[in-house]
Amino acid sequence: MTIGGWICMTIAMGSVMLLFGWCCYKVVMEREEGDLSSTTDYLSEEWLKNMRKLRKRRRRLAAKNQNASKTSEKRGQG
Amino acid sequence: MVQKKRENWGSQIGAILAVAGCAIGLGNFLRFPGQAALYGGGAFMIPYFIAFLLLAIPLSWAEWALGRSGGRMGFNSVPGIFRSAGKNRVWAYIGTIGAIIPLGISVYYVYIQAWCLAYALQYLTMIFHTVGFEGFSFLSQADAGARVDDYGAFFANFIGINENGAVLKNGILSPLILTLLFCFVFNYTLIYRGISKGIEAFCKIAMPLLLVCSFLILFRVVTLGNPTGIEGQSFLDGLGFMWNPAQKGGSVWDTLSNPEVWLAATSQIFFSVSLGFGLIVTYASYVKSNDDIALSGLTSTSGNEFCEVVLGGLMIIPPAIMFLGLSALTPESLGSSFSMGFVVLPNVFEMMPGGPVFGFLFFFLLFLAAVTSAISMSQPAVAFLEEALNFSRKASVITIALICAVGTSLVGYFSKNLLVLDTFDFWIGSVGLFVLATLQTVLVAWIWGEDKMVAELNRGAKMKIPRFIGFVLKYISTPYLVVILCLWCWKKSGAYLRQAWNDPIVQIALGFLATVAIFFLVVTYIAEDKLGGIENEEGGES
Repeated sequence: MTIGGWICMTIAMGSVMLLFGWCCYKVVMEREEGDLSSTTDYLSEEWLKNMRKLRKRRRRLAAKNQNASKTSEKRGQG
Repeated sequence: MVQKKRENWGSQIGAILAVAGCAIGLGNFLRFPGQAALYGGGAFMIPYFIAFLLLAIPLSWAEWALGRSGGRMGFNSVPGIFRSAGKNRVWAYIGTIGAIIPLGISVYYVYIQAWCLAYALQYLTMIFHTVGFEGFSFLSQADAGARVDDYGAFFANFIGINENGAVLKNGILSPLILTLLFCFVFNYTLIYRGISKGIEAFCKIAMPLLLVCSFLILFRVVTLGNPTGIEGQSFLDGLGFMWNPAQKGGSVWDTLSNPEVWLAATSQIFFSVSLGFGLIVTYASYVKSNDDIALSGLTSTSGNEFCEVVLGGLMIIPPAIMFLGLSALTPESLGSSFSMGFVVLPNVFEMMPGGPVFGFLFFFLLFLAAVTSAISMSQPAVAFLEEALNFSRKASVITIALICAVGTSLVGYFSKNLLVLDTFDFWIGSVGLFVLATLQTVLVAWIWGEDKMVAELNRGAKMKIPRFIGFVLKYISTPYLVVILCLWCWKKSGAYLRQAWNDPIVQIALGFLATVAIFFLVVTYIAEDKLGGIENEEGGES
């Protein structure tokens, strides 16, 4: 093992261990500050807004299709 | 106003361990050391870390942000998440790739998982025999069909590399088929149990156990010294083979000026961190709205690097040098994960004091890594069927399991030279990944918006992500990825294209993939309205 090898290995492993260690420390600290795991999570307000838009659009399309089929029925009878 | 509960990870640590589990696999322990040794040793780490900073971290964060945002909108499938971000139906079809790729990989990954389990059980046999208990024997000499000390021939015979249909020669209840059936049932049972009670619960046990096994093996390796007494075969010589920056008389500059080294380093990082699989996006969609995904993303990515650089960097090459010398580590063995793991290392364990114990620990570690990766790979497809077709979890799991069973049967039967496995690995596990990652990066950086990505990352985060990460993703990571994709395809695809044109077995394998792709595209078409199809009030697409 050369000096260059020691330097490369130390820097590579040292930086990875430092980063991973720091991340683990922060995760543990965040967990101690407040554990959100017991809270139930709900879908966002955005989801509710989008679902309302989708339902409205489906009702409009259904009404449009209904009108179109009534029109074609009348034409057929005529 | 009615609020809708959604399926979530039980805890932040659970999500981190699950994502780390899908990233940590055979590549960390078997592919990385070989690649580093082949492409310049310590100097390889320079392009490796550059790729880690400019590609792995930004892309990993992009996937976490995209996934969690889609999850908050009610989507857990990649097509739904892509469409909700892209605001155009085309993105739902592009997102289908994110369901196809991991399923295509799981088809052969479960097979490799079975090899690891079979080897672990065989080492358990040796331990029992050593302590005088002869009653248990996983593989008899007849099953091995080769001299026990010829590990290359043993491996080739065991997996049927010499002819198609060879794995069926020992009957339908041969050791390999039994372990394969066990792995299949085990994986899909965990997936069926769901995100929290199945995948998370298993990862919370498997990941720490994997680390314990690694440290035990590492301790053994580090304390071996020079077991054979031959000069040039000490632990430090082994480390030097891998980490010395100027290999084979060349200089560091020779290594860094070689584009193949950059391609190898970037590919290694890319495949190792599980970018472009659709897995992180899917898993992140189950994260709670106010969890810190910036920290979770960084932790799972750095955890993967820890296993790769520290554990993989110390545990594999040095003992091979110590016991077998330089001659055992040919470019072929270094370049092949299977050769390194299933041929070179069993030779090492045979010579190592307490070899059967450490052999068992090593292959059990690989089995755990393979399980956590394999179960993650089926989840995107299961979530897709649940969301698109309103399938129950049971129906989705059974459908995906059946598809996987057909694919795995092809891999197992057409085992000569591992042709079908290699075909799937190239087209799905390599080209497919690069393509999806590139499209995903374009979606996040250029369509959804890097501002939205940073805002989603900062939501619930204690450490705020700087805005320049958005700039890095848009103007550095995206072109970097496109260049690597083009270089990689240009370099590797020639032989595979010729095979696809000429070889009927390859055509069967590609036909299976095409059938699965068509099935998923049809499902996307049927469920187009459900999959993120929320456009403006006039009904047009923005």
